[in-house]
Amino acid sequence: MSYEDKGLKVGIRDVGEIINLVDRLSGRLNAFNVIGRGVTLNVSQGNFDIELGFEVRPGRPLNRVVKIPIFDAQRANLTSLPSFTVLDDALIFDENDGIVLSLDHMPDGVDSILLNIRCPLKHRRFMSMLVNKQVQIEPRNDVTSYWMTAQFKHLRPLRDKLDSLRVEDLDFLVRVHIEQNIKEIIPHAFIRQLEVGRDLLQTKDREKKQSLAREHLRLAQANKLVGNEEKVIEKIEDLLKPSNFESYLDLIGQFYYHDCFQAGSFFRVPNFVIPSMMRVVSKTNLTLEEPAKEGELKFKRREFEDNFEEIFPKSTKKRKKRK
Amino acid sequence: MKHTHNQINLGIKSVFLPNNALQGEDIPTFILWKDVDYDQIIIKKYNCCTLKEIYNVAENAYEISDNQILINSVEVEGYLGLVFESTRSESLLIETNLNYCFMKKGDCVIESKHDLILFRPELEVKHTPKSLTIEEGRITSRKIELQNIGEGTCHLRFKASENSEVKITQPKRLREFFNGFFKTFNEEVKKVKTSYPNDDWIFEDLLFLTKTTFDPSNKPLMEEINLRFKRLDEAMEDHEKLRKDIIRIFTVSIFKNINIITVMEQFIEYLQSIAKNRVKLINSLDSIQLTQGNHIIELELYYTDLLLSDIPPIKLDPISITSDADVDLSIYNLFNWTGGQ
Repeated sequence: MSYEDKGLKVGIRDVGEIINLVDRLSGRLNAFNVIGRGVTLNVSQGNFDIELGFEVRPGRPLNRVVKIPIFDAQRANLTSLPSFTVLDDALIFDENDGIVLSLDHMPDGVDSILLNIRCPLKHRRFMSMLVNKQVQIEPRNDVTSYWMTAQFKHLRPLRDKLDSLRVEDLDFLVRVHIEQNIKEIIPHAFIRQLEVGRDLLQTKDREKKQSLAREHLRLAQANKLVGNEEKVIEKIEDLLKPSNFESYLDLIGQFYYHDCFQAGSFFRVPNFVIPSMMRVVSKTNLTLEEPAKEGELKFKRREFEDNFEEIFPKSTKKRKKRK
Repeated sequence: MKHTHNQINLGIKSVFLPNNALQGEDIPTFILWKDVDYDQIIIKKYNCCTLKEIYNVAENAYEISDNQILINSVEVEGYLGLVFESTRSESLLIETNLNYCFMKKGDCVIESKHDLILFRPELEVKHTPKSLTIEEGRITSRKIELQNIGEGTCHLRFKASENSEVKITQPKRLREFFNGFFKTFNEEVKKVKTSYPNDDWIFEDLLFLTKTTFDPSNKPLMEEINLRFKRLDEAMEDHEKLRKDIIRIFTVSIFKNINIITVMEQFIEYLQSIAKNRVKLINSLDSIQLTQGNHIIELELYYTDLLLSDIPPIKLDPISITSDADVDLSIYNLFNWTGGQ
């Protein structure tokens, strides 16, 4: 069946690299009793943590120095359990040997230890091989929420080898399309005023310029927006600042809000005034115990439209038919 | 997401199936359960979708028969995930459902049923005039009337057919803006990509997508765009720093060229490119140049949905345009949009 071809093999190979690393680390610690093997993938940061819990076997002589040949670790620490006291002196980085655990520097009486090593994730497309993530491309016309989901592709190889796996901060980018709402609220008379203003700036014909200037003034007076086109655009820009726009968003379910940013469409002229859409970043975590999550991003369209409408003087407002 | 559960006992922890999706979109679904006594799970689907991927099930542990998927065992108890492939249909709306049944000795002991609506847009020509009259630079006769009679976004590109006497061209100022924009864009990409030595393909995709003219009439090109678009989107989703760097490239490229095209022009383009019912015009500012007198225009409308599906174009009958003076008219002026929002 197609799932073998859809990245699972590659996925296992890549997750397998981490699992193999955990295996090799456990092997290096064979003088100890390994009591827990965990991995945390920090997706948006592009790194992963290996967490190994181990304890001293009673009556068994220890290797005094344990060398772990990992050279690209971003961080490593050793803590005693259950107090979580950091054992700084017992761990060093060495150019030739990588991470070195020096048990001579371990305080007396410590018999349960947690080793944590953070390494970079080198494969950019790693996550798509491990997890199926999806967000709704667009909802039906009368719906203002977008579904999101994340699920592990295969659990067994992970469950067999690890006591815990946590995939943290899986990012989801939803495209909240706002341009139709914006277009529907902006009064036709104001659009006409903008068009005449543009033609006025562009024409070199003196007679045409005078006629356009008269029409522009007439429209601006009627719209109560004399000389105010740029101010209106500024107000729209303000409303669409991410810090303002986030108040029109609601996350329902097992996802949490992270960020949003303005985006144009690849398919049209690049915009620098008003975005075509807001891209909303939300996040979720997966674990072996919770291998699938669902969530919903709700765009509070009515509130957004009401506040947008306030930008225009009453006389120019378009009366919208509300459902 | 709320679903209607018809559960005989409370063993099901959670079920997900979207309640609406664009036709052609992948439909993910999963079910989580605990302490359920069953010997088989049957998934019944009506009137939609084929199985694309199945998660937490060994290759030999399931069968597909007609509209059912029979799962004999899962690898790790308590979780089953699937992805279905939906397709574009003749109908604008498809009402369908999916039913999870936990079976024990041939009986369904737990059932969970979920409805799904699959929608799609469709552009329909409501009126094609035999002739259009232009007086003092404005169309004074009844225009071409179009409507999105379905749901969902249409990206629409107007083209003049090869035989058309009147041609459609891009305004000079827009061309200048694009040239400046792309020059800066290239420079910014060069600077940023040094921080991502293993990810050249991301920047190749970014340059390709930014420079390529989106043209639904060119099927191989659209397939290429679709592939790269998905790939780039995935990369942006998985890497926050990269996402921020790409946003910065766009912002810098636009602001360095802001003097070429005015804020007002941009704003007008934005507004005129949005028609009714989620129809977005790709080349709304492209224009036709007419001299005083009679001319024939033959228009072709190419459009696609947000999945960039291949949709047959609409070819309009030749239209005679009469103008009282020489005129340069933006293409959006030829149309009226009917129907809802």
